[in-house]
Amino acid sequence: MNDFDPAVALELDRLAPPAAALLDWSDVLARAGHRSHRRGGVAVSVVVLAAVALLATPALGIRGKVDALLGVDGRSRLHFIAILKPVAGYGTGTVDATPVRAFTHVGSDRTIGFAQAISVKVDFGGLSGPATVARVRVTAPRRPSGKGFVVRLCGPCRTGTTVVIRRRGLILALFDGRATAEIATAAHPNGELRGPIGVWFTRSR
Amino acid sequence: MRIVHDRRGVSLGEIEHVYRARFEEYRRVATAIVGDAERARDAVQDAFASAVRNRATFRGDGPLEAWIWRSVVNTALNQRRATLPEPTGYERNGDAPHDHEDGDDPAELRGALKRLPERQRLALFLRYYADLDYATIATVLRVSEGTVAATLHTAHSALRRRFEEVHL
Repeated sequence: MNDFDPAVALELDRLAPPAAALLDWSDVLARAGHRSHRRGGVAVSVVVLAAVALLATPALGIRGKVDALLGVDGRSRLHFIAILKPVAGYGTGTVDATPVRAFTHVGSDRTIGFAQAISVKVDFGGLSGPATVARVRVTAPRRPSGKGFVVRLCGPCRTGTTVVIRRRGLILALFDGRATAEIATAAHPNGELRGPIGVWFTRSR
Repeated sequence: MRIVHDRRGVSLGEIEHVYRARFEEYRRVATAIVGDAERARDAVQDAFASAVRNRATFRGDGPLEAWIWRSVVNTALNQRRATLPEPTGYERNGDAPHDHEDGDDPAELRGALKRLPERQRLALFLRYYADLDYATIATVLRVSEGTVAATLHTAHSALRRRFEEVHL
């Protein structure tokens, strides 16, 4: 590395030994408050909420135009997906959340504050041990009274587990980009896999 | 890797790139300063969060990584000062003196390391763990390159003298 006396180098290595890197960029962004990201998230959430409302209200007669504008159609499905990356180890995983009947039951008057049930499928592999818990962490919105919360999905979990969650504020948090999914193991109780949950549309022709 | 800017401000992606490329070096220097692996990681995370918040103020008159190094070092120093008395690092890392198997007495060298003036220790840490060149260390510590060379030479001499006193 450089011109250090071996004895000094040994002591320096003992003082700060090498270790597996526990990278967590999402944690950095959360600590930073990441205002621009949140402003962008709010803007995106407003657009998506409007899209959901319009897609769900054919009575307005403009659904086709909105479909064309957004590149989606009446058979599009809304997903919230997290690609989980290893905080430690070499595992991988995904969390795929779909609002239950969101496109048929959400009217233009119910787009704000709706507590629709969400079906969540958890897949993972390559963990250091059995998954002790899977959860979604939601950071607080930027308003002064806002609070974050944690939604437990399953625990212990097996890959392929599907659960239905009904939690007020969760869908808005998902739209807003404030939710992070993580899977913990006994060796890594704070999460061995982690990833932000994003908004996706998939077609089901 | 060195990212030098000719403009004001830095993008989020550039900071993330430095984070992913050099996290381990930042963590080791912070560990050496703070003396505790967990709090050191916390310091690095906080330092990068600070860099993200203040990225618009980056003037681009030096390498981006040096700007972040300064943030990491200052955050780690603040962490250490907030938890006086100063931790030894060895104790917190669970590495007791009797763990040595080679018959040396590392406690003497350890004591000599601890007794070095702060600037000398920081220069040593930045040089050893991160392999930074003198120019970057100078930017981080806000001194001249010549001062860095002299500081490292003095630190090496002090440690070598102490080591020879123990073993000769």
